[in-house]
Amino acid sequence: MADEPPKTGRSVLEKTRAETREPDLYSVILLNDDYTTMEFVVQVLESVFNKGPAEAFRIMMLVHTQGQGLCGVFPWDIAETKVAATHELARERGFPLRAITEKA
Amino acid sequence: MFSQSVEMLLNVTYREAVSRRHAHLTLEHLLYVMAHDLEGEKILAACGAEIPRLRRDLDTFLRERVEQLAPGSDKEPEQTLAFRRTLQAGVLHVQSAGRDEVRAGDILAALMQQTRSFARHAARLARRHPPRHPQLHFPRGQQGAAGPGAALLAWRRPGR
Repeated sequence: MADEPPKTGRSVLEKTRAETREPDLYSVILLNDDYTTMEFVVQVLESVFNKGPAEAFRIMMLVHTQGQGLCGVFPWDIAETKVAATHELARERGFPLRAITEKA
Repeated sequence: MFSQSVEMLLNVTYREAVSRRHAHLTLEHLLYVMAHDLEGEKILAACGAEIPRLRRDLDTFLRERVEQLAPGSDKEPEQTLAFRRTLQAGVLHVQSAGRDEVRAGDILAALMQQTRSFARHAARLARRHPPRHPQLHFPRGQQGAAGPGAALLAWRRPGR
């Protein structure tokens, strides 16, 4: 029965869409604002994103001069957690610093 | 709240993350440990997962995608939001089902709801057959051990 050719000829093609695409990775990007201090941005980069002092300084300058800086590319789960940690830390210290995620 | 075996599972998961010096405690750690746990293995196998492949995929992910703590740092791995959500979903599910213990199968079912996670992706990739009716066909006799939640992952083998 399974071997019988379909009566629709070739006009109906069976579509099988296997779900094998790997989940997307996400970039976490820090956004510039006029109130957050440079020191605090560096501190966030070092504590939340595990950057060394040199790299943290570089990314902070990118945020400062270009309005945003890429902090890293992560699986969704981790990206989301880092954004939340950044906002939490900023709120504690009273800064309006924002981080966003973007599909990488 | 959590069954003893789930407590143990979570404990081992935490130690797995610590021993890899990982900055985060993720669902991938959890599923990786579950794929090594005798009970977890049974549930996953009943759902049709190819355990060796699942372990391999997850190990690769953990090595390549989860960042390590800076050398000299004595921070502890921190749960990701999805990890927390998964445990909460497991607890909520069990509460609304009127049971009082979260079993490994409930955790697995909750994990499969985190649509953007690699753990879910790996679990789906490791299935030996494509799914037909994902919900309904978990073998009856095994529901007790796994918790009915495990049925989310299971399916009927293609009939001949």
